Parts: sequence; structure tokens; C-alpha cells
Amino acid sequence: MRRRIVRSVRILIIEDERKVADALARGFRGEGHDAVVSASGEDGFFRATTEMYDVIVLDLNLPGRDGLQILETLRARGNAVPVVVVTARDAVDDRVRGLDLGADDYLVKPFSFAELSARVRALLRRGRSDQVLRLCVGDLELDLVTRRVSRARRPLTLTAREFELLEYLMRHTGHVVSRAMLARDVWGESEVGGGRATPIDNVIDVQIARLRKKVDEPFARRLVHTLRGVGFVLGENAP
Amino acid sequence: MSAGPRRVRLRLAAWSTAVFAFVLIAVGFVVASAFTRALVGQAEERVDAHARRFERLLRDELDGRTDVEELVDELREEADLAWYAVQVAGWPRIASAEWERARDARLDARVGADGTGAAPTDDVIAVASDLALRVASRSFAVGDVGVRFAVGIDERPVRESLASFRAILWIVGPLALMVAFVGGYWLAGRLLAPVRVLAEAAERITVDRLRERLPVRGESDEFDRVAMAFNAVLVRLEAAFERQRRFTADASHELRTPLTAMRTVAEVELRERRAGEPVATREALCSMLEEIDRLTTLIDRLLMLTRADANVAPARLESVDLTRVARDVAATLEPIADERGIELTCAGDRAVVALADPDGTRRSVLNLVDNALRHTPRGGRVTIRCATRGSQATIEVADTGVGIAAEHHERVFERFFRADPSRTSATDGRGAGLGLAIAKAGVEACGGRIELASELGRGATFTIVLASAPPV
Repeated sequence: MRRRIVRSVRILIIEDERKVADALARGFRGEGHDAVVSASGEDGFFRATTEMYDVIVLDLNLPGRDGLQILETLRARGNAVPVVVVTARDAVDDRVRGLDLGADDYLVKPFSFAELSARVRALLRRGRSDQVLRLCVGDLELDLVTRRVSRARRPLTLTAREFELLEYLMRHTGHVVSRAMLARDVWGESEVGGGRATPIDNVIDVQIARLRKKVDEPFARRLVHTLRGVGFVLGENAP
Repeated sequence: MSAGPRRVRLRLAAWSTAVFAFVLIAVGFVVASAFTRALVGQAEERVDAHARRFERLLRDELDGRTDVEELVDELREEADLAWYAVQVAGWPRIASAEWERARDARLDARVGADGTGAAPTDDVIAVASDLALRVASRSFAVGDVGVRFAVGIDERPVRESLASFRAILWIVGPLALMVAFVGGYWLAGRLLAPVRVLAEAAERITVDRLRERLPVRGESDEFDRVAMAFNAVLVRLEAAFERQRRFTADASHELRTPLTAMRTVAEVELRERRAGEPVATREALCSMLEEIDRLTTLIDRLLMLTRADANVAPARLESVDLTRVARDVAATLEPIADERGIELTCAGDRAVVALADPDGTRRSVLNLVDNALRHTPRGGRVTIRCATRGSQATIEVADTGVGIAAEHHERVFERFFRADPSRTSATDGRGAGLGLAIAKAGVEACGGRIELASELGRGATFTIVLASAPPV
């Protein structure tokens, strides 16, 4: 039984690629959200203006009405629904235009569902303070003020990078974190202009292995899990 | 490149000089023979005139005269000639003092012994080594008495004129040839000047700068035709490159959508299937996702290079502290170096400031160091060092690895180039084979270059050379 506060989150997916749209909808439903798919620009625009949604996932390349046009019109009419733009175009200009026209976030294809899901969570959380001073998962504790980490009350010595990595994983507890997310958010790799043009993926693997050695190895229960081909999850239960 | 045109220039000058020499010799020969003929003709006329005058004189003097002594005196006074001899039949020979002194049998033969005989002759007799005479001999009769005489004039002035004429030809000819060569060389230089301009312009044109064109001067001459033909080739070449570029870009973009579908479907599938599912299915999905990830990286990297080729977004240059970049890269890649047992150090702590694009520079250095780590065996060393050389700021990545053979120095920066074809990308295929190409593109976008010094078995040193900037 999932915990629902008032009602489930409603997500509109405006995407003409049937397979992508269906998979996204299934993924969001699996996370307990209500997902509606709209396969054309006209239909998507109609739904976005007549129905209430918490988040819209908007593809830019659409038959009929272009995604940027939809976004522009929505914003012009004062509709402030959070919009995540997804596109196969990754040129800097497109990104800037998308954000200028009022997109709240921007993802370049091919993105991982884990990342899209994280972005949507972030948008839903928006406005609420996430000023936590202390992150806890099971017996693992991370203090953001003193920058101390301990597990089962035993202090762990982490390097600065390992601390940042663990903090990021703990902030996404229970959710998959992809390598692309880590490269951008922990290593600060710029995504524009070829985010994967640096050999950072191998570094991530090595750093995860090191972190695991300190956080997991001396203890009975594993917290850092690898989801091959997808990313990493921190949680008390294996994904 | 400068040796080529100069050789052509020299050849042109030599050929024009040779043609000129041929003409000069032919003209000299014709003029010399004409001049000789004219001089000889004059001499012949002169001696003939003397002979006629002398004959008139003789006819006057011999008219009724019988005294030899008297004739000798008359001739000595009237003849006005240095060389003459007369043989009147029955009389002793009368000759000028010079004639007698010469005692030349060939001369004497001209007048014979009895005043009769031979037809008039004209020819030249060399009396002494320094004296040649043009002799004319005639015969006539006064009454029934035959008279034969000969007169001679000095041939030397004619010979001297001819000799000096030839000398002039010998001196003036070579001089004229020299002038012709210098003139030809100068002319060829002037003629070839547009070729030099074309060559220089053509040298500036590289694959990255196909938009350049050769100058067409609008004189619709041969050089303009060459320039226009070359420009036409450039247009086609540029179009071909553009097509290739667009193909890579389009293909990469087109691949993104199906990749997204594959990835999302597999990922969501993986999430939904939990307990009770066969492990093999899970494994297959994971393995697929890994390959999709590899493909994504490859496409990202290819697109990055395509954008660098198209130069759509020129790098914004700013002051970049290379030492900081080096330290950041070393810190980032240190875990990998540690894993592989390689000592990764960052030498020097003085700020080295370059005018560059910070992202591009970092990307380049990351790829260079990553490449060095890949090719250095366990226990080896990779050193990053920054320095300022005059107006240049450099960042050097040196390894103690296997090194690169000289014949591969140019090609290592090519996309997907592998010095050893047996080494496949299977072991570490996250877009490997593009790292050095990306490093090069990143540096060249900020107007820099990468130098490579390496020998097989002695490690490799890649040096990024950028314009230095004043420290911030």
C-alpha cells in the first residue's frame, strides 16, 4: 500500500514516440504516479490547458504543434505548471531557448528514466525546504554541518569526493542514480557540448568501489547497490 | 614551398636566354659575313680604280715614249702608289721601291717577263706576316707593244676593321646574354608573382578553413582561370565535407530517439520485474542497457567532434589557470591511476595563465591524461606539468608508457585510430579511440595546438600549447 497524501501526482507526457511515451508512463505508474500520454502537439496542448497536472514532460519535436510553441503559449496564458523538456536536440541555443521560454528543466535524449524521475521529484519538491542538516539511511548517518559520516556509530573517514558522492546518493535514497547524474552533479561535468566527452565514467566506478569499501564492507548489510547498465541505488533493500 | 617557383623562374630565364643566344649567334653570323663581303667589295673596287688610273697613266706616258728611265721617273712622281710593277715588252721591268724591296716571286709573277699573257686577275698576297697586299694585274697593248702591270694596296685596314668588328661581337654578345638572363629572370619573377600569391593562399586553406578562397584579380588571365578552377574545387570539397558533417550530425540525432525508447523500455522493465523473474532476463536487460550506454557515449562524443568541425559555437576565450586545471584533472583521475598502480603527479605550483576556453581545456587535459593512464603499465608514471614559454602557455602530459612510433604521430589524433589493430575497443569501449581527437578539437577551438614527442618504448609526451594571458 503506497502512501498517498491527498491524491497521486498527475503527470502529462507529451511525446509522439509511442514506445518512449508508453515506457515513461509505465515507469511513472510504477512509482505510484498517474501518467497520461498525449501523442501529438495539439492534443497535448489541449490537455495541458484544460486539465490539471503536477508536471508535464514535453518533447520538443512534435507533429502538429512544436513543443517550444506549446511551452510559450502555456506560459503566456499564465499557466505555471512545471515542465521538463526532453529533446534530441542538445545544441546550447536550443537549451537556452527552452529554459528562456519557461521550461523548468531540460533533458537531452537518450536520457535514463532514473534521471527523468529524479528531475520530476525535484520539481515536485520545489518550494518545500530541503534544508536538512542530517541524512540518515538505516544505521548510516551523514552530518552536513560537521561533515562527519558514521555507520553503526562508528565514524568513517571519507575523502571530499567520497563525501559528496555519498551525500548525493543519500539525498536520492531508494532511487536510482545514473552515471550521467553523478558526472554532472557530483563531478560538475558540463553536459552542454558533449557531457560524455570526458572519461569520467571510469572514475565514477572506481569511486563507488572505494566508497563501498568504507561504507559497506565492514558491515553485514549492504547499502550501496549497483544496477548494471542503469546506475546506483542507496537503500536498505536491494532494488 | 619556395624552392618550386624559384626553380621554374630560373628555368624560364634560362630558356629565354638560350633562345636569345641562338638568335644572337645567327644574327651575328649573318651580319659578320655581310660586313666582310662589303669590306672586301670595297677593297676590290679600290684596287680596280687604282688599276684603271694606273693604266691611263701608263697609256699617256707610253704614248710615243721610248726611254725607260724617263718612264721610271714619271711613274715615281705620278703613280701615287706604294706598290706597282710594269713590264713593257722588250723593256726591263719597272717596279716601285717597295715592290723591289719585297723581292717576292709571287708578286713578280704577276707581271711576267715579256709583258704579254695572262688575263687581268685580282687577289690577295701575303707579302710578310704583317703585310697583305691586294694585287690587281692588267695587260694592254700600245700599238703592237704589250704592256703588263700590277698594282697593290695594303689590305691591312680591311683586316683590322673585320677583326675589331668580330671583337665587338665577342664582347657585346655575352654581355647581351647576361642582360637577357637578368631581364628574363626578372620578367619570370613578375610573371610568377601571381603564382606565389595563389600558392600562399592555397597553403592557408586547410580542412578547417575550407571557406577561404583564392584571390581572383579580375583580369581574366590564365592565373585567374587557375584560381577560379581551384575555387570551384574548394566549393565542391566544402560541400562534400558539409554533407559528411551533416550526415554525422543527422545520424547521431536520429539515433537518439530509438536509443531513448530502448533505454526507457529496458529500464522500466527492469524496475517492474522483481521477484520470481528468471535471472537470465534481468542479465540480458542489464547487458543491453550497458551497450546502450556505450552507444550513447559514442554518439555524444561524435556529435561533439562534429560540432567542433562545423565550428558552430566558437570558443569564448578567457583567462584560464592551467595549473588549476592540471590539479583538478589530477584529482579527478587519481582514483583510476591508483587503481592501475600508476603514479600520477602534478608538477609545479606557479600559476600558468592561458587564453582559452575553460571547459574545452579541461576536457582536453582530461582526455590526454586518461589516454596516458591507458597506455602506461602498472608501476609507471604520468606527470602533468605547466609552463610559460614566451608568449605561450603550455600544459604537458608525460607518461612512461609504451610510446608511439614516429609514423603514427600524425595519425594518433585521428578518430578511432589504433596503433595496434589487434587491440580492440572491447575492453574499454566508452568512446575510446576518440579521446585524442576530442583533446585536439578542444585545444584547436581556442587557437592552440597539441605537440607530440614520443619514441616507441620510451613513453610519450603530449604538450598543449596555448596563447598565454596575463595573470589574473
